[in-house]
Amino acid sequence: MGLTNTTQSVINALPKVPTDGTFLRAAETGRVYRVVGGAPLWLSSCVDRCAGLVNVNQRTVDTLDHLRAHPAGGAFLRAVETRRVYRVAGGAPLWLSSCVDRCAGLVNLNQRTVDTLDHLRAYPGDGTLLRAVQTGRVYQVANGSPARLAKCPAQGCIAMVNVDQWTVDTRDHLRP
Amino acid sequence: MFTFGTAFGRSNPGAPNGYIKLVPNSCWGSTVGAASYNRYFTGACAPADESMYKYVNTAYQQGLLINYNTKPIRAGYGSAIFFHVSTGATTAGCISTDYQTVVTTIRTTRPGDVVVQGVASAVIAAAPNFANGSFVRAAENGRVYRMVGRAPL
Repeated sequence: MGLTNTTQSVINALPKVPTDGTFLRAAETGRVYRVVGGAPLWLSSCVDRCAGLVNVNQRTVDTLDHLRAHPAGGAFLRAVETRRVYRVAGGAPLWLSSCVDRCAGLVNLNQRTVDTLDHLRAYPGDGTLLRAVQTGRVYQVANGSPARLAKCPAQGCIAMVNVDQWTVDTRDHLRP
Repeated sequence: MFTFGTAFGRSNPGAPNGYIKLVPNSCWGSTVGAASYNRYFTGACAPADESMYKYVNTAYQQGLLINYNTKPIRAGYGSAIFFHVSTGATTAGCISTDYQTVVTTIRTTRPGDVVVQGVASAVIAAAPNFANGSFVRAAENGRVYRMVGRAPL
């Protein structure tokens, strides 16, 4: 690939993170990552043939240059080995019993990626809002535990993530 | 698409390409037919001219000329088009934004930087589409990026 000269302002105007599903390989370590919700999630083996994989430096991944530390809320993941579908809320992957919001933009990766919590949190961050689509119940996470709310907080249900009631009831990546 | 011109305002925040410190008789010519049309000058502002000092504590605390109708200047085609601090009100053809963004722009703008005005979807569609895996280098600082999923890493 050739090198194109441009200006820093043109570069600054480009997207802040790669599109979902993009593959990266750190040239020094050979690690392969897949971008989900702006975050690079380490794969144990290629999925989807690692189509379009691009080599970068490990430092690029480690310093999160134009990458997020955790996927954006609402991103969908599917572990190809188990076919489990997860939705990211507050940085944590919450296992869904069935798709919500049509699993729009779902990205395949490895079960190991989820299990090892690479660039994922064990529990959603404090204040994360969840809504169980089957019941309409709204929960707010505090210390990893979902507490049911009678109504949205005063500032509104900002950045609320739809999951299913089963996810909340089984406490997947949620504390009791 | 327009380039930036000279920066101006109350005091120089670090403009690398020249700066006009506004004084009580700072004017921007807007009198059609006058030699000062769409130019900065100091003196008595005519009725159609803009007293820049009048806004030195508000919109023109800091600003940059947008090079609209500057090369060549054509009488009656428009004057005093600036990138300046927002007062919360609408502008009459200028672009306004928050103080810090204006100051940062003054400090970092280099010759050749441009202002692109238009409907957001059209402006974004016009953005360069570097191929996945291609390399781009910022001419000013030599930084090399690799395009990955449309983002520069």
